[in-house]
Amino acid sequence: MIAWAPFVNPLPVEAGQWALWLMLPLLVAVAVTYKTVRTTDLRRLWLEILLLLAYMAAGLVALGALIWAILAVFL
Amino acid sequence: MAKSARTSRPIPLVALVLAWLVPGAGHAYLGRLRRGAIIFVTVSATFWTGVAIGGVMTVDYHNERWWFAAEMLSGIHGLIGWHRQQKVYEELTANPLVGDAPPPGASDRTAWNARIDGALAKEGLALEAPLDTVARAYAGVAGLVNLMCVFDAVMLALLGVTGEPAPTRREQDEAPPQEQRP
Repeated sequence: MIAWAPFVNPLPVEAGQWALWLMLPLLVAVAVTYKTVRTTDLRRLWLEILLLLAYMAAGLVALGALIWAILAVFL
Repeated sequence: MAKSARTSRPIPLVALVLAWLVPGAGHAYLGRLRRGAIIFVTVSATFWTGVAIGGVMTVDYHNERWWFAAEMLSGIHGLIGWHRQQKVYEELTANPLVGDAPPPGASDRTAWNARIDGALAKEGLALEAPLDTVARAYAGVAGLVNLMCVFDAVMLALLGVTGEPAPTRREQDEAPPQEQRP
């Protein structure tokens, strides 16, 4: 067994359904960067980030549900 | 009135290079230090989370050109990732059983790819599906969001905007009234 070294070897895990949760930090990164660039008032930054994050997460869940429904009906 | 950290007009090319090379540095150059710091932390954390998931082969110039292009948009992070990957390839091709890479399209390229894949697997460095997609999505998205920041910094520099924007009328109305000193 080769010793695992962080940032050198890939994570020694089997990617399964749980890997979908890794999408959330990615959404956070996109929301933070976008709102940091776009907002005019930095005092409202975190509120706007949370709102955008909720929109994106809800949109992706809705898209996933739609695709699942289409596959369930037609396949 | 907007705070202006600089008196001279910003140079768009400087903003472009800074914003690309060090994420957030373009905004810092334009007097938006807090925004620059947030961008730097976010882009860096996203990129290196990808490398933590996928290892040194997350940035793969030889096999994942589109992801590689996106990763290079993250500036210094992408360059470090590329350098690390090149070092791994140099070490592997130094092995006579693997040998130097033939030019793309050469007849023995496929055989060489198989040899290098075998060597990567032997070293525990091979990045396989579906973890490769997750790792490269992180590193690639870090580059793409930095592209947005680069674009914003260049546009602000072209417009000659420095410092934080002035509060809008609505924000002025919402702000609590300041106490008047006697």
